[in-house]
Amino acid sequence: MSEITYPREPVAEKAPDTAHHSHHQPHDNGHRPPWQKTGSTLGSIVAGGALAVYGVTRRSAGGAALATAGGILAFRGIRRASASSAVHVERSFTINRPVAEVFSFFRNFENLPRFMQHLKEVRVTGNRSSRWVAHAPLGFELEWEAEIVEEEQDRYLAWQSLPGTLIPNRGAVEFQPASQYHGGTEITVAMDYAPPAGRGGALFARLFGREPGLQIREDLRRLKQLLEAGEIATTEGQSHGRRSAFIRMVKAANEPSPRRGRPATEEQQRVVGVR
Amino acid sequence: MKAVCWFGKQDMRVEHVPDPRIINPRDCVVRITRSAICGSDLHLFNGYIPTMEQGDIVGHEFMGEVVEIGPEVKNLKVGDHVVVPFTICCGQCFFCKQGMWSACDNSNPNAWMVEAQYGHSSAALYGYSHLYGGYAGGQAQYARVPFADVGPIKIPEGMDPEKVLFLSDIFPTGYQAAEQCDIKPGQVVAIWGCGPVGQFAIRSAQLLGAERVIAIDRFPERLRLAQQAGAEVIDYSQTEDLVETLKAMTGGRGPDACIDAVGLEAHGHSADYYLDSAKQKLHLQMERANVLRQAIHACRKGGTVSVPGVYAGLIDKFPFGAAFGKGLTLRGGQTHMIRYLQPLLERVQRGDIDPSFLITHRVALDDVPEIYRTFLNKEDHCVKVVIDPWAQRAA
Ligand SMILES: NC(=O)c1ccc[n+]([C@@H]2O[C@H](COP(=O)([O-])OP(=O)(O)OC[C@H]3O[C@@H](n4cnc5c(N)ncnc54)[C@H](O)[C@@H]3O)[C@@H](O)[C@H]2O)c1
Ligand SMILES: [Zn+2]
Ligand SMILES: [Zn+2]
Repeated sequence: MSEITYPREPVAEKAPDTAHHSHHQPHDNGHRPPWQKTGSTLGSIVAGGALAVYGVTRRSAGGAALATAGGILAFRGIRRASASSAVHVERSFTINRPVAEVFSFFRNFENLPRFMQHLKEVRVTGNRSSRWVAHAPLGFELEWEAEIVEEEQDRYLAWQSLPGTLIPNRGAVEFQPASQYHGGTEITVAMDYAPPAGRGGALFARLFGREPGLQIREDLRRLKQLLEAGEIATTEGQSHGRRSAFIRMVKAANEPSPRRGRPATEEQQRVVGVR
Repeated sequence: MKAVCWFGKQDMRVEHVPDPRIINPRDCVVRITRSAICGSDLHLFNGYIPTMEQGDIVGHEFMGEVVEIGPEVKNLKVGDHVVVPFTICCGQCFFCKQGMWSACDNSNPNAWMVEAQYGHSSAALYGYSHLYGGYAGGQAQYARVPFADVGPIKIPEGMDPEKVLFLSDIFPTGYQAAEQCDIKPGQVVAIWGCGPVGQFAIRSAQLLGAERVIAIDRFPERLRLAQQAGAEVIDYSQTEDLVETLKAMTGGRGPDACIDAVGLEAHGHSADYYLDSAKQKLHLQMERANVLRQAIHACRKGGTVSVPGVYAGLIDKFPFGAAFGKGLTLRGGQTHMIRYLQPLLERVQRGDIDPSFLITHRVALDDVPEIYRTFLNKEDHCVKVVIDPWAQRAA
């Protein structure tokens, strides 16, 4: 299985205009991204500059936003997660569509919120730049600018947040034709998130449960459903008989959209730096 | 609308719930004209299938009239009469494209749960636990049908609903069970279980060229139905050593193929039956697998054991050594429904088979909770229950 690695330079120290955009090295094994051979191991991601407490805005109505993937699992995991370590997630899926189609769908980052549940919106602001808004717990939103740093058509794509982000992050995605028998595209996505220093760590811990990989796994599953079936399978909104009090409680706790819940307290606002 | 909801072990209730509506672009909504209770529903009723929630609408064998259509469904129109297969299939994933419909990648919103348990997920089912997708079922007046452009089969006008209703599950399931045996002309097929699935397996094995079918059960009315089809029958409750009996009936060879149309709630009187049921009661094991073990022991060398009966978890004392030693082929799984809908509809139209022979009970929705018990205990010669969701309760 392919492993995606990143450019050696720490994310946050890299000025946007010096990012090596399209430098090519001959690949020796066919379709490995050029930076894979020189890349640092994953996980050694950077905590990017000082804790930059902006890019966080408050939403009109609050609510715990995260628990996408693992449902109950993720919900439980959130509390136990340690705030001190960087988060690395990586996942592969096979999508029964041609590489070119999967690549171009992904390359338009404005499509990402259609299958990445924690994202509210991504606006493409230039050929390589984009502005991201993510749901955060307690009705907050996180905003950051990102930039594509590596790209080869129908092969791979890597992006990173620009300095000044509360939670520096970067992602890379690789596209490969699946086996001839199976057809379609093997897509591997890897993402790193660096924890903010200080008390922002609590927010970080709430964003990523004990198993942060669940989120990317379910995101990719939704991408697959969207591209193959044209829609994302759901039972939300269907009818049912009376639920027990216990089930109602669990469901409320897992509510994926941050529509409900309390507005942040003053203390919480201070911690994450609400504008 | 009215719907049958699961409320706990042996507790089904008829509830008033909101009418279903279109949620995704490839959905449609059907007004259900007939529905049925399946042996699989008994596993829910008895609490053997995990991840049921109070209030879940059950039922997966239904047909109806299309009353609402999502914008992406181009091949149906309001007013069409359709039978809905019990597996939900996207039609676009690798597995659907290969005809392995019940392995569909994209229909189960809770795929992660199944992956955790089985390594991979498979197609979602109607009304059959959150593990299998959590979709509302069809023992109701209306149902939402996802991927409606793929599953439902249109029924020509004027066809008797009772002749086509079982295309929703048990006819294709019995047929696949027999097809998986790869029957050669002149072969002998033994079938455990003369419930609805077994009955269709018997008739399908014959349609596919079996020379002899040996059917095994203990209920006289079910054995009689098997006999009427031309099967030789064995009442297992009166048989000391079933494996020896089967060998004796086949010149010592054993049946060329064996079908387990019983599944995880088998009854019996063998030592392994009592051991399995004790473990089941203690929740140490979910399955009573005595039929599967017997089938493996009885099957001739190089033969096939085909398993339409449902199993869900781990089985103790699984005689894999025997299966290996005899070089058996083991096949099973949820039915790849969509493969069979058109060919079997044609068989019904041609008069090769009239599936309505099975029906023993016709009830209204309000009768359903009670009739579950009757069906479970095989009382009142109950073989197959058909529900008319719009009928008034019998006085
Ligand atoms: N694979 C699929 O897609 C699929 C679809 C539908 C049903 N099923 C399964 O098929 C099985 C049968 O369904 P059904 O509707 O016919 O159920 P059913 O309960 O009406 O029939 C089961 C029959 O097995 C008999 N039986 C029990 N123990 C036996 C034994 N030791 N030896 C021989 N017979 C025995 C019972 O007497 C009964 O007649 C169930 O497990 C059901 O869940 C599977
Ligand atoms: Zn069934
Ligand atoms: Zn599919």
